[in-house]
Amino acid sequence: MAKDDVLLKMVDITKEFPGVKALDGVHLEVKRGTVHALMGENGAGKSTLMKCLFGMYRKDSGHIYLEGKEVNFGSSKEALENGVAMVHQELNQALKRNVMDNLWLGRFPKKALLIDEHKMYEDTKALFAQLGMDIDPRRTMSTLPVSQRQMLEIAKAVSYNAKVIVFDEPTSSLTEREVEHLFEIINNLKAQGCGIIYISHKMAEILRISDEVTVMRDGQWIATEPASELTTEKIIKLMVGRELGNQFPPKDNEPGEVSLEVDNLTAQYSLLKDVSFKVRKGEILGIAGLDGSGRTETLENIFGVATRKSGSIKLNGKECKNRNAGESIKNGFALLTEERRATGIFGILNIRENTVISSLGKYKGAIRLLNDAKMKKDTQDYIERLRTKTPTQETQIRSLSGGNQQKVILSRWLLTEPEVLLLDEPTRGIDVGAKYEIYQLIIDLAKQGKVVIMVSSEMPELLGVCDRIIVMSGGRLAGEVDAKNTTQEEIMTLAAKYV
Amino acid sequence: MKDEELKTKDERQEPRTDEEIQKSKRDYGLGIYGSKKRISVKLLDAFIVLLLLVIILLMLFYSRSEGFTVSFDTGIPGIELEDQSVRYGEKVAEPEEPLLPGYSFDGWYLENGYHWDFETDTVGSDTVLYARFSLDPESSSGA
Amino acid sequence: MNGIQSKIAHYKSLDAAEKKAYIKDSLINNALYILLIIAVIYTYTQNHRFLSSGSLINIVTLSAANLPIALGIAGCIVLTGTDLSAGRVVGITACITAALEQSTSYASKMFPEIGPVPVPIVILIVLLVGAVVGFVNGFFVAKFSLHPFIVTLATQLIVYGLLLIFLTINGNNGQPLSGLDEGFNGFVKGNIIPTIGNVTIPNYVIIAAVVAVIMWIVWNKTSFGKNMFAVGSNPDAANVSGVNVMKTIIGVHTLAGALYGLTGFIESSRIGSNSATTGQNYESDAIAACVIGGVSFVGGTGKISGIILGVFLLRIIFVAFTFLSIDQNMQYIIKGCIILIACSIDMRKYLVRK
Repeated sequence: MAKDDVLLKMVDITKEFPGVKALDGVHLEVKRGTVHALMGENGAGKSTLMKCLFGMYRKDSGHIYLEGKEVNFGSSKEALENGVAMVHQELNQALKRNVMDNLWLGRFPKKALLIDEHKMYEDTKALFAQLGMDIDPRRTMSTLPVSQRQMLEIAKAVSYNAKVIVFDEPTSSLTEREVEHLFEIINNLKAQGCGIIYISHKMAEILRISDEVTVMRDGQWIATEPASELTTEKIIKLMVGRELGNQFPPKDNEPGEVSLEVDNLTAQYSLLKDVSFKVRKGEILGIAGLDGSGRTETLENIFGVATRKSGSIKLNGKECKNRNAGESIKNGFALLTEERRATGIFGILNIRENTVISSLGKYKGAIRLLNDAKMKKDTQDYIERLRTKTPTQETQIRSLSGGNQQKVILSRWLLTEPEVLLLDEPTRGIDVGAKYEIYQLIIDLAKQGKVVIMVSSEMPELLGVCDRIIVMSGGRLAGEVDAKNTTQEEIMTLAAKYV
Repeated sequence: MKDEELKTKDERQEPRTDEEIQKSKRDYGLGIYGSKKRISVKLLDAFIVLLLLVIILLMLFYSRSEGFTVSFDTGIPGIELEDQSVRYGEKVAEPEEPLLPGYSFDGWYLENGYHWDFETDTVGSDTVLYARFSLDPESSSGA
Repeated sequence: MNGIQSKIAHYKSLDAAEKKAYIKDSLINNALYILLIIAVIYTYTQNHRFLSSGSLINIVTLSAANLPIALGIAGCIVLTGTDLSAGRVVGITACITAALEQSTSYASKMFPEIGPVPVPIVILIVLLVGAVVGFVNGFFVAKFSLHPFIVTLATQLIVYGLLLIFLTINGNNGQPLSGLDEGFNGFVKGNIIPTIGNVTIPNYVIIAAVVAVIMWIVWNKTSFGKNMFAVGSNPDAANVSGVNVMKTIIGVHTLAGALYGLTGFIESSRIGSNSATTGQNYESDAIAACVIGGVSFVGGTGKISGIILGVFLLRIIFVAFTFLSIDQNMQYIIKGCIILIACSIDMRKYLVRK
């Protein structure tokens, strides 16, 4: 098996939607026995390209060759039967059935007319052995953690004798150990001659696991390079067209005197215990820590949407009870939640309604009726100020991109004219370009003298945007560091203190 | 990248409009009433069209141009009065008074106790009119 | 006009296959309007009186009688809930109104000691009764997160029981309450607007219209209305955004209850004879009208104009069926089918495409 054997070749793929060219002459070549990473910002066209491969979109022009033969799959089922499989990020599994059933759904081994359970069990065990997976075929899917269910997706692909396997953000729900296991399996597949397409945003992983990297931007093929010749900076530059140095805006906010004092914050229903810190006016405080260490709980307790057991909050010397969201807003607090789909946006409502909802009191006229004109004007103001991309105010928010939705929710909070902004993962799921804009916004808010507290799982973000960082661990405050004088290692050490 | 992003993913920095819904998306979707099952739009469409046809057929078959049926229940075994076919909005012809020895006839009533006035009341549905009687004081001498 | 122009431009920009899909979508989403047109045309051919002025006025008045209850229930649906107690609340408030407004000359009057109570007081009483039931509904839904279906099912039964008991007061023994006072009847069924030709518009049509305008203002111009849509769309997000979710839910149900009370007030005079069956199953018509009118079960969306349209559509279809002398029992089957179609279209519109 020559390593230079080309397994999958996509040539000159173009796909247009009304008004927009999603793919413009994109090339992709995957060689046998290699891992080929596909990178690009949100909106670069990676998913569109894959959807064209799997027949979910009909490409406008271009050719796809599998092992030299031209193919044109009409559905992912067809692709699977021809040896091209996708391990989705969204698992579409029958959770109430067991592992075997899910694996062999649609092609159960049969004895006469009945399903041959014994054969199914044996086949499943053999498959798992081949992949080094240790899962009981009789277990119910719902009892398995997400990571193992993802493993099963891979097993399924392998059982179809897939030659080309596409992994879409495979490590987003995996622990470090599981990631290692995944890489082992991928290396196994490589050795067996499969071609892997690996889509991810995680630079470190990409550089570790892949042989070649293709970068896309704005629907166009930008470059394909061997992974050995790339660095994180180079990749980002290709993806974004800017230097890493410009990833964060210049920090020119000047913290003043102490404004917010949190003392011995303890939660009623979570691990949070005795958290105390102070934040100054115009300061950006970052909160770091592992998942479950209490970062979100801290913000929620300050804002009043989680029940506080004890502790006090003082803003500019005034005690704030913050018993519920409404009271917190009146006291000048704002909370941007972690999951905007679940607790942030009103999907079916439009931009304006999403923006004004927290500030309705402002628009009540003499007879307590709302002033439509004023609401429209204020919404338009913020759309322009934050450069939110939307056709009109009347567009439903759920049709906007993640970054723009986040901007609308930020507008909602800015409209309440808060003193303290509590931001929980403000740039999650947002592409690099929009991230920069949000960082600039945060720094501008600090320059205006506001207190900004930011929770983030991205270390570089915390180091690049914040002034100080507190580290949470096991529900307690593990330590405080100065962003300019600390390292990722120091933060990680603190994060593990009370685990 | 979280799952949420897949639903609101912006392929080209522009909000998605109906135009961008492709063939396979057209064919399936998740239920809105909280169900996580994939619902085939084709099936739904077929169902809607089927129901529509059922309604139209029922309408055509069951419309009676002669109108509603008004029947009379005298309460007296052996004495039957003929049903009438009365169209919507029209009046009922007063039938002959049923005779019951020892009782005087009080009139025709609906089941809910409403006294039917043949001069003014019109028919709105299939109707049953019940005869009511009261003891005739002249012959209550007890026998 | 702008909306139509942009729709035409949009249509022209689609390619052949997409044009076909667009037409198919439009036809299916408007299946009930198509049914309406077919029913109207067919009925007219069978019985010309269907489109006479008298008949049309009849349709308008019947729709007006069904409007307040639909407006009330719509709020509950916007909150992704429902209200099965609506019909029985109409029943009990109708009977209370009747009991208080029976004519002194009526033989089997329930409260012979009191004369017909002044109308404003009766209105206040029924609004209060309806509001109390609504408050109970809203309270259990908001405070204990019980599903509105179960809560209102329970209150439906409780109210029905109370209604039956009420009808036995003072030896009434379940007899229907009728023989209402002239003045009261005049207030509801009389006409302030003078008769033009043979077109008479009873007062309750005006009442319904005023209520519709008030509800439009509440839905679109008050923070209560905005909060209602927010809670219906995403209660968690509403909570974080500072909306008092509990107050909003209780408020919506209470307001709905008051509207049912008003409906009962009107029905007591309009029908004339009030018994335990008054109001029975009214909620099914109201809910159907709302869903047809675009108030989706997915929550957070709905327009007053849509509700009015839905009420009219349903009423026109059923008046058409009566003109066709279709058996009452068959009408139930058809009504059920219409509700199924309405819900299916609703589901179709809001499917999450993946």
